[in-house]
Amino acid sequence: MIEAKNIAFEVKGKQILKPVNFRTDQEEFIVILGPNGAGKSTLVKLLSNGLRPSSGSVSYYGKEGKEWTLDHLAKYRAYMHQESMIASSFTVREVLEMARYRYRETKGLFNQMVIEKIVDELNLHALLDQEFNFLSGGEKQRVQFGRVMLQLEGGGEIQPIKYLFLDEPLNNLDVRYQIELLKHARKFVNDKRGSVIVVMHDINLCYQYADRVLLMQKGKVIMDGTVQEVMSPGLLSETYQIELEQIQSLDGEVFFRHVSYSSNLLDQSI
Amino acid sequence: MSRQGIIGLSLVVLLIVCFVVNLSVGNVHVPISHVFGSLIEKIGFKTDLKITDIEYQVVYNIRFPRAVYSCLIGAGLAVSGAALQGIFRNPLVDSALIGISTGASLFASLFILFNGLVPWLIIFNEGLSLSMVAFLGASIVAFIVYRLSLSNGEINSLTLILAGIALNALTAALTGLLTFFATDDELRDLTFWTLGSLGSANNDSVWLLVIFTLIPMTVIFFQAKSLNVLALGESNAQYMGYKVKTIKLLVIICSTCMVGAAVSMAGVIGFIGLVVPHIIRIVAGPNHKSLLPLSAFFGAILLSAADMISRTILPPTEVPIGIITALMGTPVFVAIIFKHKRKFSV
Repeated sequence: MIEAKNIAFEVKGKQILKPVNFRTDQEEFIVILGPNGAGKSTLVKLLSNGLRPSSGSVSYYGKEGKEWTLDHLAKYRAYMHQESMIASSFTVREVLEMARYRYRETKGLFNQMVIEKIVDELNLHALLDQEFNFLSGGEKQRVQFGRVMLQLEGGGEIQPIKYLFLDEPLNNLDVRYQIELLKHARKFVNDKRGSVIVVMHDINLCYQYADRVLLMQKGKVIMDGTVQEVMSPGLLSETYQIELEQIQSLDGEVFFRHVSYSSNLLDQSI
Repeated sequence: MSRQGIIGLSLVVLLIVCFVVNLSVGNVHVPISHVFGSLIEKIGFKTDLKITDIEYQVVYNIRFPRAVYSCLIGAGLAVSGAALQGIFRNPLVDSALIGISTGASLFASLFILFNGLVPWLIIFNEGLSLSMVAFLGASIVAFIVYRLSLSNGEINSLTLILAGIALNALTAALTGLLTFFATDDELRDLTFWTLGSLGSANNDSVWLLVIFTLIPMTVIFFQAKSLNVLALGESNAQYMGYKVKTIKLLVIICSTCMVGAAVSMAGVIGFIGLVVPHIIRIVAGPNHKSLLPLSAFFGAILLSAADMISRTILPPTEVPIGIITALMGTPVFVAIIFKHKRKFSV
């Protein structure tokens, strides 16, 4: 369970995030949506204990962020950055192993087993012995995703809900891998392994994969609710300051598009 | 056996060979058997070898401490280089860049010039006092660089390197200024200091070097996994449960100890800290669990070899060891850069 009470963040008197409350206590796929500069990254960093709020507090399983040791909290929440460049010529295998360093008690065999499992799941076999820095942007992203999944993989006993924070994980990924990554994240939630909290820009993918959406604008969470509640064309158009419409395809699939895009096309064709 | 294991074993063998050869060669040639003989007799056993008193004196009192010095100093410089490159995620960092070496030289120069004026400084003997003062200088300058690099209580790596460059320039200028006031004799001492020399090695102060090298080195070895994780970036390391601030501070303090001790005993010896970790990374990979110990062995070997050359190349004089390491290091370094251009993409 994560609970944020009145968290706000400011830098040199400038308010980046206005006070917000947030709570999650079940496995869910949460998307933080909003225009550039809305404070999305700041919010995930605050919720993941990567930043200390200027006021308010965040607690994990009822215990405040500052009472946790970094070491301990690392087994319950992981965070994946937008950019992923590493120093030195580590191989993919070595990078994945780093996620298991903290699991001293389950040394060796178990760690290898867990790594094997995630490598299978994400289909990383072909990359294992390659040097991380020589991978393509998309491959790096997949490896980093594997690394954060590995960081949360616990032992046998009953595990509490764990939290996977992803800050714009779809950057650099082509269509196929965007969808694959979201599927893996979705499966993580469906398998009751934990919750995913992700910052992303694609409204349509958000609509397809999210359970819950936090819509942000100018440092404020303007709405927090289910996909159906939050993602109305009116609210989205207002937030992004661009006219969006919702379309339903023949087989019932719903998607959003920019209104003038279609009309422009029409204009040109006339 | 793993690749790293094989490399490690070969380095250990090579180090032992270098160590023994170092005891044997020089102005007075001592046969290898007599080298072992005099060390064995020192421990208290009797041998049948007819070891002359001169041989015994040369091996035990002159060359033995010197060989130990070169191993410890070489290992210390190399490990601090590897660890500093690790925490700053920058392959160009070494102890010289963050002000440790030049700080030591500045204070050593001050001591060489003014020790006559303040006799109370000579607590033990002149050599040891010089080392103490140099160590103090290394610590002071490293501390200033460290303080300058703090922003919001955290070490900013870029600022640290910039502050290091600035203070290096300042201390180098001050040291240069001092040479104007030096007499010819003092100038000679100063030159020797800035170019490095193991000539002051002796059995009385070897324990100081042992303590100041081996303890911080052990502490750094225990940070191997943390240094690996730091390659992923400070923020990632933090999210993975590592106290980045503490690790950085620990590595900087330990490096200052090792390099401070090395410079205070033997002057400025360049290139070991920069080159050795690179060579080891290329042959054995970047994992600090192997990088750190292998760098220690290789650094020890290189400095032992450099010392051997410095003592034998122009007999009976001794070429400053810093010159040898720079002459050996630069071409190797340039070659590595050209061969592995892509590997330096940090």
